[in-house]
Formats: sequence, C-alpha cells, structure tokens
Amino acid sequence: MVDHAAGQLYTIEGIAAALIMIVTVWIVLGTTTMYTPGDTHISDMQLEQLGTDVLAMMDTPNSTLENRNNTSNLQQMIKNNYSAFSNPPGDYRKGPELFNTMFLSYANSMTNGRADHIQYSATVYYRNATTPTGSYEFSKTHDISPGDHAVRVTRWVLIDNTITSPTDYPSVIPAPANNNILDRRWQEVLVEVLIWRG
Amino acid sequence: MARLNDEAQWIVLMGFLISLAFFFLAILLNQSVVVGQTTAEGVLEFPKNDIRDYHNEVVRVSQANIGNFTDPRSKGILADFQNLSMNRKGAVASFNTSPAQPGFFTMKTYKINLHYSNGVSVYNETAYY
Repeated sequence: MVDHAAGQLYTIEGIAAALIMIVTVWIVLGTTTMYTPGDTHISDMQLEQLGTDVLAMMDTPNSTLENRNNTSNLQQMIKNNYSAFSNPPGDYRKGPELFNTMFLSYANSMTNGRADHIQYSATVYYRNATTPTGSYEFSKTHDISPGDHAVRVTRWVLIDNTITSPTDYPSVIPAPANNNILDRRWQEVLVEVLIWRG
Repeated sequence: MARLNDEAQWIVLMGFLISLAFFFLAILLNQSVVVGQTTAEGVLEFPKNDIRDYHNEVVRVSQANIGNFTDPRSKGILADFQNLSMNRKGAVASFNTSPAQPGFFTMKTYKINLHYSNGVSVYNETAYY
C-alpha cells in the first residue's frame, strides 16, 4: 500500500462490507433473544385473569327467594366447611366439594365445547384470637404438586360466622352451621387459589 | 468499482444508502420488542386484581353496614384486612367507611376511603356511591 495505490478502494469496500455484516449480526442476535420471556408473561397474565374472574363469579350473590341473606356461593361454601348441610336446598354436600364442582366447571369450560385441563389448590387464610394468620387447606383437585407456571389468585370473602337466627332463613332450608375453625364474628377471610394447567 | 470503469457509481451509492435505511428499520423492530416486554412486565407487576378485589370487598362491608366504627360488629374487620394483606401479599391496606346518608328517594349514599400500598404501587381512593 505504500508503493502503489491500486488496492485502496478494495480495502475501503471490504471494511464497509464487514461493518454492514457485523451490524446485521448484532441486530439479529439482539432481536431473537427477547421473545421467550415476553411470551410466558402473557400466558401467565391470562391464567391469572381467568382465575380471578372465576372467583368473582362464585362470590357474586344470586338474588332468589331462597337466598334471603344475599350471600354468595363462595361465602356459603366457606361458612359450611364442616357442616352436614349446605345450600342450595337438597344438596347436602360439604363446602369444599361444592367448590370443587363449581370452580372446575367455570374454569375449564371452553367455547368449543371441550374441557380445559386446569387444576387448582385452594387455601383459606384467616385471623383469630390465638393465631394471627392461620390457614387450612380448603379444596384441591388432586394430591399432586403444581406444574410449571402456576399462578396465584386471591379473593377476599366476608363471612358472617355469628349464630344464625332461624328467622333469617325460610323453613325449607336448614340454616347454615358455623365454621368451627373461624371465630364467631363477622370477619374477612382470604381465599388463595393456586391454578395451573396440568 | 475499484477498477478504472467509473460508470455505475450512483447505483452503488444508492445501494449503500438503502442498506442504511434497512438498518434503521431493523433497529425500530428490535426496540419494539423491548417495549412490548417492559409493558407486559409493568402490567403484570401492577396489582390490578388485588386492588379491584379490595375495593369490591370494602364496598360490600360498607353495604352490610358493619364497616363504620360505631358498629360493634366492625371490630376485627379492619384488623383482618391489615393482617392478612400484610402477611399474604406484603401490602399495607386500610380503609374507613361512613354510615349511609339519605339520598334520592329510597337510595342511600355511602362514602368509602381506602388505601393500598405494596411498596411499588400506591393506590388511594375516596368514593361516593
């Protein structure tokens, strides 16, 4: 390159081409590695929204004549945890079994008629005089560990755990018994449900 | 190009400029993915469902008329909220409600005040309904 200048334009061309290729590779590598974490966030968000909506549906009171206290299904299920009686009338299953049936039917229904494969594990957290934060396992699908990408959804539930006066309920329905674990008072409990597809 | 024939220089120059334009578009595409991810993370981190559930439950407590602190049944409701939300969600929650005020005809007006903070998101609300 000192004696004769014939190759100078070739050199500049080569440097320009090398820069173009390096910048291209840099952009391509920087782009493709971003996709994976973003995708999992979105599906987790959808599952969380689904579970929250299911709990909101179960905690919405339906106003019928039998439901004179205006309580929701979820409130009745938690209150009747260990009692032999349960609303609706004639259905004397315990609260956790009713929760199982209703939660799975809401969460797993899809628009094409087939069922989804959502599993759950529900826990009730409460506060009473002796334990600042107590909990008991409320209901779950199977005795298996949660799979990948389990999300946690919660719902506050207002429980009237005082003694129910018989006049509040029509005679055809047995009055709900009190929950033996919780204090005998009006209180808020927190229902936590871990859901995953499995 | 590096020979003595100089005829196609404009074409080569245009090719070079177009390759720079492609770089510009590729960088836009690259950054748009990052923007989407940070937005999704921000949405995921914001406790939207917690706050909506909390608001809904405070409204229910005030409608049951046990949330105002002149009622003896209200003892413990606020403590339940504070204790459980601190232990299970790491969030500070507090509220108060006012007794129902007479409104139009048979309707009643309630006032609620609520505060929620999990260290990242803080939410305060005063609502009449």
